[in-house]
Amino acid sequence: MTWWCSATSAEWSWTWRPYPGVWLFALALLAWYALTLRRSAATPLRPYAGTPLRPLSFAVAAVLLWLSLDWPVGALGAGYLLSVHTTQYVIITTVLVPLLLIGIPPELRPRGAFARFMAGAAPGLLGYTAVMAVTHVPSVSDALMATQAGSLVVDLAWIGGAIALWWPVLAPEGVARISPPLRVGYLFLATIPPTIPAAFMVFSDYPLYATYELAPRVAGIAAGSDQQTAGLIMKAGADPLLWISMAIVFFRWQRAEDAAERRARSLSPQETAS
Amino acid sequence: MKSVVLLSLAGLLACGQGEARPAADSAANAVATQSPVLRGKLRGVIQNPPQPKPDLILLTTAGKPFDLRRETKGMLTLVFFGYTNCPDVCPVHAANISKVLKTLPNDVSSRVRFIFITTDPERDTPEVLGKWLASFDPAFIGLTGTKEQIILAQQISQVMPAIREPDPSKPANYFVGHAGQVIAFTSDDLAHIVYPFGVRQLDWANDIPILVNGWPQ
Repeated sequence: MTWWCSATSAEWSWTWRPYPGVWLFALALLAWYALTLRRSAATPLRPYAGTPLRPLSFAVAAVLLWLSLDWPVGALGAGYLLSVHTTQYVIITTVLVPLLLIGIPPELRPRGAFARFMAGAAPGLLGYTAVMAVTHVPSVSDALMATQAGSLVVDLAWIGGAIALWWPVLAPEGVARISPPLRVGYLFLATIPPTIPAAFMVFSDYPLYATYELAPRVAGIAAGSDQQTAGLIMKAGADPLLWISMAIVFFRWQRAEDAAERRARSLSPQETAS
Repeated sequence: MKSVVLLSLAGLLACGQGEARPAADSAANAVATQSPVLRGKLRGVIQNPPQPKPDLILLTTAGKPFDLRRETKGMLTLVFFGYTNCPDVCPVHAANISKVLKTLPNDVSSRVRFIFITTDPERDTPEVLGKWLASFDPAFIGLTGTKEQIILAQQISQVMPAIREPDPSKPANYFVGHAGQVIAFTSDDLAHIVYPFGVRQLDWANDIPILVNGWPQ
């Protein structure tokens, strides 16, 4: 039984194949969420009531997790096309994990010292960059993608790295996150590290990853063009999503500032009279 | 005065010759010392003893006889046995060699011949073979022949003759199990080195410029 997608060097086929490990992972995530919510709802505070967008966001994240790691995307990305592998990375890092974190209500926030520490800009950025850098080193990637366990490690590391990236921005209320203006700068800084592997992918004369260079070709896509596409996806795919996030953070902050100013004005009638 | 000038010129020439000889010696020494280094740099699998270039005459995709020894004399000749319906090894080798030849300087790539001998002459008609190879590089040479000629060609090229294997998913289809290595014959008509499947573009880019100048003795 194949539990997780990995590089097999077998000819690519569009015949469906099951990867129960992925289903179990996505189901376990949803089950944890539902159970924890039920427990939280049973408390006298019932803080979760009236916010249906959160479970929806979490459910969409779980579905995205399933879609991006299961056949065919998971199988293509694990052993055939670097461009699909990078698409998985971009989806996990810039869409899936943010939705996952948005879905966590304040009551479910982790309260430990580690969660507080990771809410800082430096640990978040360093954790994210370290995972991104290590998992894109060709020898590391080739070694890990060759086995199911290794491929699982890569996927979990990406999720972990993305949580590190987004925790200072999207940690549930109650966690001391970085200030909104700092969040904008932080997200801008996050667009820089992927430029390095992306540049290597785009400008390298020869394929960097043996896994994708020696894999049976899919739809006649050459290893070189696949790698260049992967580099472009890594930058041009992820950056706009981070810019959108920056814009959302900025305009929300601006709106909050305006509201606070209006409130302050309404509280000081003398000032408004003058 | 004239004789002094002539003597001086002769002296200069003698000095020049005297200096030229050690320079030539040092160049020869450099080659001699470089050769093991160059051999050490090669990334293929060195064969000892080397195998001779087979005396083969097969048909090109244009239907013309092709004498392997005569037509590839002095060239770095990369010989591979495969088939166009191959799902993995053949397209990867062909794509990798084609890509590398395109990136190498013309004075290097023009001295390389890639010979693809089909192990599936029934399905690989000259037209099919020619079209398939041209999709990688129009300069690639496809060779075919009768089933018996192909078996003989593999035997004298010291590779395991290909065998037909059923395709479990499509009973009408079949695979051809064949040797996965590319045999590299240098200008001395010997294959000192072969390249099994798993050799990458970087390896080819490293080895081809060394091998086009002949086997480092």
